Amino acid sequence: MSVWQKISRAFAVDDAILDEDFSLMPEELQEGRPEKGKQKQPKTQESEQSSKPKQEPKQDLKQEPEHEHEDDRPSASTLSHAQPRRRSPVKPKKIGHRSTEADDPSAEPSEIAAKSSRPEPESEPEPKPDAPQKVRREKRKQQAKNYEVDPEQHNLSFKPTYPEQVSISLHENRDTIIQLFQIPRNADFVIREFTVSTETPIQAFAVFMEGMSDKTIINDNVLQPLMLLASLPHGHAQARADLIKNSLLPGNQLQILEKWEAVKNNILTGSTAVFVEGMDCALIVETKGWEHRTVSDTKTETVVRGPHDAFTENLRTNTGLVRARLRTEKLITEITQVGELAATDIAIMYVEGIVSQKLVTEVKRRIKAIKVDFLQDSGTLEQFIEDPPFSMIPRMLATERPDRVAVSLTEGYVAVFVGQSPYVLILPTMLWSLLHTAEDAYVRYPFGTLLRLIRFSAFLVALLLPALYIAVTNYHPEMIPTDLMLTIASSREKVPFPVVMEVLLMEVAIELIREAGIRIPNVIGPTIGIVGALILGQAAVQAGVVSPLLVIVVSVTALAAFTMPNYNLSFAVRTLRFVMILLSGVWGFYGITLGMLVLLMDWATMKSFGIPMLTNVSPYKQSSADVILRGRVFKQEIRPGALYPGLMKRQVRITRPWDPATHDSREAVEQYEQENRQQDTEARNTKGKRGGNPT
Amino acid sequence: MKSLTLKRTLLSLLVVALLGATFSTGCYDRVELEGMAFVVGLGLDKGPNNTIDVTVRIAVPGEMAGNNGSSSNAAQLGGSRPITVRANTIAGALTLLNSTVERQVSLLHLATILIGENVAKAGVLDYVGPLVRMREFRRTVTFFVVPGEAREIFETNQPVLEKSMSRFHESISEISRHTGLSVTSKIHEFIVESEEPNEDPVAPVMAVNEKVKEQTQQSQKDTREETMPGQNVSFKPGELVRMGGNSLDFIGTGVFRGDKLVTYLDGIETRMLLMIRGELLRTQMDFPDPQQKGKYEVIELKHARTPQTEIKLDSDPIQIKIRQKLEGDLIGVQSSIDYTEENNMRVLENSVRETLKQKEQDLMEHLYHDYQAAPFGMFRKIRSQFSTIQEMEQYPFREKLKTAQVTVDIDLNIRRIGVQLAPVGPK
Amino acid sequence: MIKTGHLGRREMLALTVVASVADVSLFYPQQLVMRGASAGWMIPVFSMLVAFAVWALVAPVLVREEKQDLITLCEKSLGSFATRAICVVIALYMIADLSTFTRTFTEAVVTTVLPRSPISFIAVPFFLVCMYYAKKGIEGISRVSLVLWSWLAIGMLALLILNWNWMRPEQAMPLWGNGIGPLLSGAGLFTSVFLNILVIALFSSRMRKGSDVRAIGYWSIGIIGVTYLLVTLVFLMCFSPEAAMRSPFPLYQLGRLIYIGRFIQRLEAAFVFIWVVMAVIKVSMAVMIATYLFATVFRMPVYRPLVAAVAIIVYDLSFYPRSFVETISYNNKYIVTWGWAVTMGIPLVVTLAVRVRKRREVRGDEELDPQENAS
Repeated sequence: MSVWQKISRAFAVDDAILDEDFSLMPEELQEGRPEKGKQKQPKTQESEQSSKPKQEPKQDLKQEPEHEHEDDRPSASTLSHAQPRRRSPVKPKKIGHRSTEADDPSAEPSEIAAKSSRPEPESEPEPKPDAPQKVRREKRKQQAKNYEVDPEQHNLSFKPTYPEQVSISLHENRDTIIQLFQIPRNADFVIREFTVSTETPIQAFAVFMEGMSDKTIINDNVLQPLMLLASLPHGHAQARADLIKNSLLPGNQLQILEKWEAVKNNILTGSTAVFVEGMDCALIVETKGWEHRTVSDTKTETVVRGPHDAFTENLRTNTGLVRARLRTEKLITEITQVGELAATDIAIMYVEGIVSQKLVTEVKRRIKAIKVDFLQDSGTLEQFIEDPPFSMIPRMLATERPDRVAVSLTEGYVAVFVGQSPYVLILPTMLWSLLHTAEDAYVRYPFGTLLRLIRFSAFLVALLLPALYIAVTNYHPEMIPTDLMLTIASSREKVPFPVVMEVLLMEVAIELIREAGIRIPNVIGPTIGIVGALILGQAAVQAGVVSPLLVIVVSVTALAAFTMPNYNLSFAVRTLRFVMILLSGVWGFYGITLGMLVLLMDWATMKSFGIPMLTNVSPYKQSSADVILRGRVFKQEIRPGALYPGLMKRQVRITRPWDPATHDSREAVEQYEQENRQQDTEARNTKGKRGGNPT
Repeated sequence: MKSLTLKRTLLSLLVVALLGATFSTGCYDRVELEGMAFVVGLGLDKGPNNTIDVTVRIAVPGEMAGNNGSSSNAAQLGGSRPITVRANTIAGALTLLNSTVERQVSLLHLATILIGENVAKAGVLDYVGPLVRMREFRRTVTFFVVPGEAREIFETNQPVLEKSMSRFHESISEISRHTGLSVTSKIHEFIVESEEPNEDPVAPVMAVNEKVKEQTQQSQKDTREETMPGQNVSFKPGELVRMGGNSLDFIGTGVFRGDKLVTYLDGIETRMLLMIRGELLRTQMDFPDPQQKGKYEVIELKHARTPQTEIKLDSDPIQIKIRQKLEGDLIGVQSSIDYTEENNMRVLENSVRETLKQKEQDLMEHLYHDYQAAPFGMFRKIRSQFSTIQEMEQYPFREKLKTAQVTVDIDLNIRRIGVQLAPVGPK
Repeated sequence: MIKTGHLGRREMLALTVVASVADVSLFYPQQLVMRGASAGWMIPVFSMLVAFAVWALVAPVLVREEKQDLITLCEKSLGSFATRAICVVIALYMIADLSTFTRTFTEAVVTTVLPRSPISFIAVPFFLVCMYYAKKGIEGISRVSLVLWSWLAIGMLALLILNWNWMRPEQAMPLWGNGIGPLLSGAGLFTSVFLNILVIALFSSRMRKGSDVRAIGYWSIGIIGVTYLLVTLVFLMCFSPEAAMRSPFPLYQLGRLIYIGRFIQRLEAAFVFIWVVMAVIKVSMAVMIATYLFATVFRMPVYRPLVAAVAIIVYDLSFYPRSFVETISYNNKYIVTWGWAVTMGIPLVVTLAVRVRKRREVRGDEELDPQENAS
């Protein structure tokens, strides 16, 4: 697409209406006007299309993802397919849009239902202790089906070279394993052959991975019972497997798998597979035990008051950290995998009943759409699933604090854990949440509010201060008090550059120091950075390259940028700052104002998983006093309405009944109760399972 | 296709950035601070043939960096030596100035305008009026009327403390608000008052004290008797009896009719003027002791309530009645009488009240009858008695001023007596 | 119907208020003082009362006809030709209003903030931003105005309060200024400022709850009226009526007057923010409405392709007057003189037509019923 085409797009049809994009708003509200039945989200689709660069070259695959969306969408909005889609008589055509899309409702409802019901078992909660097997089997079937249905799509070009089912012959299985893992060449895999010491000894072998499995468990719980304590009758393979499972293998998690695909994946995650002669299945004993960092202090989101533990590079430890805080059976962890070459576990966590079901489905839908060979980190995942990809500010909140995740979950957010990433994504997010820290809630409310105010003003300072400095000195010198103006002017007399140049120089220098400070490979990196900044500033001033006041301006800006609690946000602020500097260099205050207006519009119309980034403020949604200021904890009675939580009410009206200042006369209490009841019923009646008030 | 688009976007971003860079180097309004010459003081004198002599003092950035003393006489006040240009208009003068000043002359930081007596008498608005249209000029500039030439002020000004011109003028305004010896007035007030019907503006006065100027020019070895020959205390601008200090007096008020200067008031009269206008802040005044001749008592006065004015428009001659409520603190007692004692205090209050009343009435009648100048803000208070503008404009207020009868009614309470009861006295 | 998305209650209020108040930063207060002299502040009060009256007639119809707006109502009651005519009239009015507004705005920016820049250097980025806004649609504009309106209110109040040391209440006397006649005629003409009635009527179907419309209308009329009143009053009290008549850009002048001690002075540049924001919101909203109406007239399914075209037309038209003075005189001659007919007249006529039709239908039903009974 040439630049001209791009410009011509400005004159062409673009019928994106915010209100009709994906939104957490209940369908019946979103489709308030029957004549606009359009509920597609071109933006999301585009972003998803663009998020699969890997598939681009493959011609045969190109059509596939398109299809997938078509199929998926109904499942994403299971609630909606009851009513048939209506559309306006004249359908505006989008430039560059595929025509296949126009007739997507042609998919029959029954088909949709069938397809939408399929992912359900996969999204089953954690296996309950009494019936782990069944669940796993279901999952295995699911995987097998997928594998059958569409091997190409599912596997990129890594075509399986192994048979599908585990064979009954031990020898064959051994060959398969050797071939699959290329055993002598690939040194990480260990095959331990042994004999189960029954009356008639049975050959068996165990496969596990060096470095990823716990050796003591293998020794004590797999090899020892089988080799020393066993007595196994002849019989049907399944019966034998059950016997081994029930009485011989005392491992705490054990599955019986028949598909090689699943067996392989389990071995790769550190479990031990036991193959027994005459059994057409493998016994998978959970022996995961690789080395990882233990839970340690927070690195980037340090607080004074509050817990100091942080997520680490282990998925289950991370989910455990959250679960330890939020001990409820309503907390659901769904685990899926992404990655065709090597799978990465992704855990989606939410509180059933509070979270908006629409949100969960959407998150799962987007994650499922990712088809890459390898997903490194939550940072990568973020880029795959965020809404409009060309915007500066982050659309989801990455945190390393379990307490923050826990409290977000109770508010109706969804948390996404990615493999070995110590950063957990909380989504959706609003611009305000990016400026919150966990500590705001832990200190008492006046101080929490103060902290927030400081941070919000730091946000503005970091974004605008250098630009304002330029605007004031170059365009509106009358705003500086005369004496200060003279000081600046006299210091600038030796400086050869215009102010814009000067500011840009210093800003670039600061960015260098910052980057260098992170890369310096030791703990005193940041200190050196700051010292470097001082020295640089001092020297630059003495050399007459910059004026002293500018050093103050730039360092205050840098300090303000350091207060940004979110790493991604501070990147955004730093990048936008340069834009602002240029604008103010050209038009002064006028330019800054116009620039801010464009930014605001961008933010106001941007959505993060169906909620506008500026919501709770604009569009207004009901919420507790926890958006810009931090209200009193005992007054925070409702969850953020923008999330359409299942239950708006968070705590009872009177949380301090002993306080003599509390209004708890009979009339007041009655009124409160009535309000509470109303809130509950309102949440249930008008919004089905969801809550929140519409705008 | 998408990645291509991305590349295009990046490319166009680059183009935009380059454009931005070029823009930023060649923008219309961008002027660097060191490319401007900021005028901090502007003096207006009348030149021959309807021309105007504009004197400016330009702030010199380097001078601020604290090298005082070395160039003691040359550039006081962190500014250049005054430069005077003759031109037809002020704007023209500023343009002409650039033929000798290296940087772009700007009025953005203008702190004060000094108006020479001949300009003031000819009508200030003719000269200042065009300035108001200029974007750089703002109406919050302080201004002074100079008996004599405005340029002289620039040359003789040697502040006692202040180093910068803008601070100097702000400090003068601030201090005269407290002493009440001079009015504080911005050019905005001047313009508004001269535009309003039947109101006249006033202006603070800045005068050269010739005696002090001579002292500084001669050696300072003369005795006190020689250099301070005046017999009495003087409050007249330019005639204060003192030694040392700045050769300028910031005292007194210029009274205008329309925009033309008619007369000057001295320090005491200025206080009366302020008292009638209701603008007097706390101020200390000396009053002769009613019981012991030659002794003075010091009282700090302030308004307890804004003065009430009553004007009977129908009556002929027009009757103006002012009711004031003042509050006083006893600051100093020279005599040996114990004024903290109830009756004595009443006596003192009465005498002070009489003195004030007499002075105020004298001042008002003097200005009304002799000049028909109305700087007391009287007409403003009766605007509400008219229902429309037309009606108001038809009323011949100024005509009636010639014969106006003024009565002042003062209510004074001395409320506090300082930290001493009976006066300290010898045995 | 062209899709525009939904508007929230607060968003609608903020949008209508900010867009209608935008004129306060330009020469309107000066014009008010011109007409009413010392009573200039009363004109907004009277026009506010007129607007209340009009709204009291318009609102019940909008509330009763749930999910209907001016266009659909018009189509129902007056037929499609009249609808198209009305749409064109409103759109043309918007364009005319915009072209004088943008011209005065850019001229104001040139004279006050960037005096050496050529006017297109100011106008082009302004129009680009407005086009972007108009393209994002009324949802986006309303959200931005909701974010910004508290800031605008704070800035405005600061501007008014920081001038307290210049205020002299006596200058708002004599009470009736130039007399009651000019006040009333001025009030009639000044109703064109209450653009909010038209905007709410046009977009009433976009509200989630139709009955909210009534309250929004009253509130916005009140806020707009009070804003004009306050600004004009402060303007009058700081300058005298005589001086206020002679100075355009009252907000700018008030900003320049701020002088509270050594530090708080010379702040006018900071207040540029206020009027640029208001101008952008007003212009983008009006561009959007004009394009929306044109698209409706020509039965286009979407309005966005027209945004650029309409914006360019407005840009061109805004350079038609030769000077700032001529722009003001055009504005007074055409926009102010006939604006009320569009902003007040059209909603009033349409809703009256709806009422009449309804009544006739009811009567028709009544007439029908006995017949049916008889047969």
